[in-house]
Amino acid sequence: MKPEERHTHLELCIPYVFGRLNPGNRKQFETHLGSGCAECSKELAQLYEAMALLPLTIHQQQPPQQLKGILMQRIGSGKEAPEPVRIRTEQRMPDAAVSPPQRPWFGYAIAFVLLVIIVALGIYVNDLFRTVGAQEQTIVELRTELAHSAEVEKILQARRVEIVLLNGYEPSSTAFGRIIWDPLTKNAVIQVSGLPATPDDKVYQLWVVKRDGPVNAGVFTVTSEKDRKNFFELVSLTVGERYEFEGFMVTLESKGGAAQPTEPKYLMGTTKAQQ
Amino acid sequence: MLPALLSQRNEQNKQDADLLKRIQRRDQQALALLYDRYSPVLYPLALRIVVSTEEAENLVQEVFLHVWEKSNGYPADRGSVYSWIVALCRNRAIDRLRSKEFKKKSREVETKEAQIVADLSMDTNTRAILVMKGYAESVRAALKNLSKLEVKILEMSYYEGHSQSEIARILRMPLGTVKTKMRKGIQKLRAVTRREDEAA
Ligand SMILES: [Zn+2]
Repeated sequence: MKPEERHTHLELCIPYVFGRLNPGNRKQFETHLGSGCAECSKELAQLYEAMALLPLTIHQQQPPQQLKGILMQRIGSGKEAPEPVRIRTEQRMPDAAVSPPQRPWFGYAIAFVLLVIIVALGIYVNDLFRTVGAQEQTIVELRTELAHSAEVEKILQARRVEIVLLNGYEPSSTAFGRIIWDPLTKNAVIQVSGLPATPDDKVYQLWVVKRDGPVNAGVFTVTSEKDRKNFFELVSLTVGERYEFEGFMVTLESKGGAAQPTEPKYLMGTTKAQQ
Repeated sequence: MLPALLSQRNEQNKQDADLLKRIQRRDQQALALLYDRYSPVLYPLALRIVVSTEEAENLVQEVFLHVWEKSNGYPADRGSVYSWIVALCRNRAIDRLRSKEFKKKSREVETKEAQIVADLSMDTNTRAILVMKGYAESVRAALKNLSKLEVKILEMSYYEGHSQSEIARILRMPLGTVKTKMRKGIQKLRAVTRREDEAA
């Protein structure tokens, strides 16, 4: 079809599919659709098909197994428009046979579980991470004084807190850590454990990994024995928007920090499934 | 896209339409099968938008309850059953994201023992899930044809519910550019669902 033949309603199809038509335009457009415009119907069908492809680029993940049972129970009970039932968070078991658990999504599950525990029990985190791997079994408690600081609490209580686990790589493969952050305010806490003490002329540098490369997110040093065991630092991740963040990494750089990370990576973690 | 994969996918669309007909006749097993097929897509989609696993679980439940209650509301002229279900899920998730209630911080988490029901999955469904995975691979590959900006604009609309003018403001670019990039991106996405020989 030539562009000049496209009639004006076709322009409304995209915002309509995305739910971004204002009420007036939406009503007008729906009236037009109701009049049986085949062209717009076809355009819409194609748009819906195309849009339905986008979620396929996220790695598939089974919801917790109990969810299906609850759903079947609800439809079996024959209640009209029932309230969704919330389920226990402790028993989530992604179906490994059909869809291997995607590690980054565990971050979300853990974020949620952690949030509940923090609110309910206080500041200690015990073996929440048992399922994630042997490495995370030795979880260090949040340092009390920091957990009590208003800023950290603000982050921990944010509605959309996310946790990204950081894994240690050579030469610090036993190190691990996590970034707990609020994507809305971009305030974050980095917690690391087991990193070697920083040499005098060096600093550790945190990088936000974006689609087009890593971006500096600040430097820190690990000096005392206490730091080596459990180091905390508040960081501000104002280098972009949540959807741009693909992961985090920590490298060892010359004092003052580097423009680009050098090898080796000491810690690394991803925010979402690789695409 | 490989013709074989595409025809498998078309076959599945037909199966989905049959499942929906069975659901209209109150066949619970049909709903279970549809759930097995598409909950692994809907769940991470909801999670990507609302971030909370609790909300994502609720949304997946709501979507399938809606399919059960309102199966007659499926507009057959607007695309496949799959795209209908995905749109239900995405739109609800975006509504949730914008709702005041969602923004409230404190909420109570009820716990309730789940009742275990028999596993209703069948061989055809397992195959369907595998075809979906193959299909997803092709989509991911096709997405590489989109520029970073096209992907970014589509993702901002789809997962974050931004309007085109909001995107223009956030990315500091003219509205016309956003509209053009969006159309381009969608066109390239659409090419995925066509066979190579009929692609423009
Ligand atoms: Zn029209």
